Amino acid sequence: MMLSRIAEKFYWFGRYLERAENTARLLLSYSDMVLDLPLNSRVNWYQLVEITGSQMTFEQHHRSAGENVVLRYLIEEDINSGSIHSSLKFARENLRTIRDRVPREMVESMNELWAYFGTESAGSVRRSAARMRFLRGLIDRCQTVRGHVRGSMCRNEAFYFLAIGRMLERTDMTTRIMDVRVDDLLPDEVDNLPAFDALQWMSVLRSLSAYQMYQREMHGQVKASAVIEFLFLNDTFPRSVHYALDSARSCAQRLPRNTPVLEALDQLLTHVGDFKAKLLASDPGTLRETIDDIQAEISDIDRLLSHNYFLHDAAQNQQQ
Amino acid sequence: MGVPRAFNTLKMAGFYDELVSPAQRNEPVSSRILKVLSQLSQDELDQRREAAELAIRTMGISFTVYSEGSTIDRAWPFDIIPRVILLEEWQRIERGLKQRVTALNHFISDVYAKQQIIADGVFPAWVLEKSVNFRPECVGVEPAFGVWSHICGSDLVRGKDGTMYVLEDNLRVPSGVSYMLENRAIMKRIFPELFEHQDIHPVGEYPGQLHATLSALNPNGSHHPTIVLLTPGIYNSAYFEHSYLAQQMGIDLVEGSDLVVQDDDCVYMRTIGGLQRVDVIYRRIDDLFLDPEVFRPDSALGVPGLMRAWRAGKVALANAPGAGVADDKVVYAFVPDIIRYYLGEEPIIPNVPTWQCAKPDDCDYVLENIADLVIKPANESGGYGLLIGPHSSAAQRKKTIAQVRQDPRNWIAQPCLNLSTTPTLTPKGLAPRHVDLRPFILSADRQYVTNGGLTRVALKEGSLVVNSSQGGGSKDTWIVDAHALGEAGDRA
Repeated sequence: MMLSRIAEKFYWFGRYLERAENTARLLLSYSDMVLDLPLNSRVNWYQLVEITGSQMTFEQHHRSAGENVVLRYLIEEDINSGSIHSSLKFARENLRTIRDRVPREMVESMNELWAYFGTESAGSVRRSAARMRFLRGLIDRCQTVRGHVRGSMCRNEAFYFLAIGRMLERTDMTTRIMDVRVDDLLPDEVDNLPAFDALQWMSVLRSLSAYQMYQREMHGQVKASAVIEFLFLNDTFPRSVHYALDSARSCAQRLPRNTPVLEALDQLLTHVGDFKAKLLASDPGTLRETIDDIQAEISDIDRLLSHNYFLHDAAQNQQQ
Repeated sequence: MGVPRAFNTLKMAGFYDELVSPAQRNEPVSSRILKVLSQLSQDELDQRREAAELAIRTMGISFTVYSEGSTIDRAWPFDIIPRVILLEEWQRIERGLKQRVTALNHFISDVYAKQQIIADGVFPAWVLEKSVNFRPECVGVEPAFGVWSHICGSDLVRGKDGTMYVLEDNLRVPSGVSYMLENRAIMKRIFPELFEHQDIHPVGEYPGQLHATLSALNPNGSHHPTIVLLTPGIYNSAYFEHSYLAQQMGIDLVEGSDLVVQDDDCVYMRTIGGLQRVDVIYRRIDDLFLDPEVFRPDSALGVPGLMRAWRAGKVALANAPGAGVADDKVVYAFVPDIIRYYLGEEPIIPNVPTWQCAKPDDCDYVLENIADLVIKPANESGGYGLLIGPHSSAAQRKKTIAQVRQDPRNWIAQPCLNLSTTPTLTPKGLAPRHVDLRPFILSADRQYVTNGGLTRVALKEGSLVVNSSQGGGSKDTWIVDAHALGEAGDRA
């Protein structure tokens, strides 16, 4: 049976790697969307800080929230424990302990990813072309690491904890990305024009590599209610909330002493299943509340995992 | 075909060179290697070196050094020119190593039991009384097969006449074997053509042999023993190796906090399914940190109650606590006598001649000739506290002389060996650099010796210090069967 300490490292490795990739996706789609906005738009880069939920740290260290400041904060800065750099650093720290239990190719691809970040990140902040190339390269390399996990790791407890970490993190970030609201980016005269509404939701879909899949599944025009339905409830798209939670559930099913974890996941799945996409699409306030609720429930499940599987005699605190 | 003329410059006068000196015996093998190397320009050699460095970074092969209170991970320094030993010489060395470790295990068993060797006047009682590695807690324990040092790493050096000597034995927690394995993996990546035309003995079976050795120690009769590797953690300088070996053997790498000894004196590990019984622990933690109930109470690395479990025979520890009693540098001087006493045989591999400062005559000689000798404290490793006479300053010698006078029993001296060299790639091309060799010997129900071992090389010109913490690197070590070379030397 797997060591508790090791299980915890796998879980956090899964979370941090997914966090790095998702943050890159968020920045990429946002940078992409900005290019479609009318020239006189006032782009609110600070919104990215809000989505990642790190306003407090940002405000302690920065006076302005311009493009370069925000992007450097989200890509490179260590004071931001959710920056891509911090996420990769924490992923590596966790991997260092578990490297004897994962395929060697995965460790090598992780080292390669880290080296890529080290050489390429500095030039990525100022120029959007370099930035988008950098972020795409980063996502590709995260996928390479994940490919070695999926292709070469036994479906054992290590894999399940890693996958649960990944899926909870993904749920968290997918809901955050849905929270992207571009209304206040748009100059008054173009506000509420359908073209820009669609633009916003296309950006959300693209950031999750979901655009083609959405088109095939939902057919036709990009609409808020359909996007919300697709990203919350679709049970075939791997980045939808329902799919991610259901995957986490089937992994948890293979673990020992899993009753409380399964109960909590079932409760959250039921909660998500009850959503009325149309209603959420028409009411941004309710959408935001719903997202907050899901994030709170994910935190509860995280605590439950710690309590059930990870805690040693001396209580340990993993930095989030 | 002779050795290409250019390579004669690779040898330093007054030193034995591993590749070039034994021209008669080594010729078919060395000329092949030299032929391949001579066909490469300096640029091509540099490219291979860069390929090796890239492989090392990608494979994450690192070691940790301590510097001003913090730790730094460094890429493993590797030289791409292999070090060659002929099979017929190696077979004799292998017999000598097995002989030596067998005798040392007899000695440790005796020291913790009747101490017959002292009663018979072969070994002086004061050495034991003074030993910092003698553990009274181990008296009366009888580990399986009478083996205390299951994994031994002995350092071999070659003098200028070509004789191979044992420089020291590491009977506690010897490290380096993972680098031996990785060096081979790197060489096969970057110099496949060298392997295509000759019989180089493989080294990859070590993890399987180690697993078999540990399995044999299982005290609990269960069919599949639970074996774990106990590490001090990721900040230990040898953590890379701990992790590597656990992975290669498919066993759990545990830290002290993962283990717990219950009232039944059994050791358990904390798992996601609850507590699980542990049968064998390959510990890479020093004795004094193993169990805060018995040794250092402030140690957080170990497991409270571990010694109790071991003494009760509920868990096997490899290496056994207390094994270090036989590897201090004062005991070293007695190893030839120890071999004769327990086995009735002459030592196959000689010791380096050693003066014991505990003997007044030896001590006088050492103090008078300190500038020509290597002076070593009895209980340090990693080259710490060592004085190399010919390379020392007057002030350093004065300090060491004072230390020897104050506590002569803690010091030994050896002649300054003209450590053998082997061609090594430097920024200015191939040049001779000094090397040693650490083979690893496994002992339980049977013995196993690695095919070769870890060759360490002093990368700095003229330097004799091979430790990686002090500017040393390493090389792949080849045991080559010269007779296996066919007419064309190729595989069918």
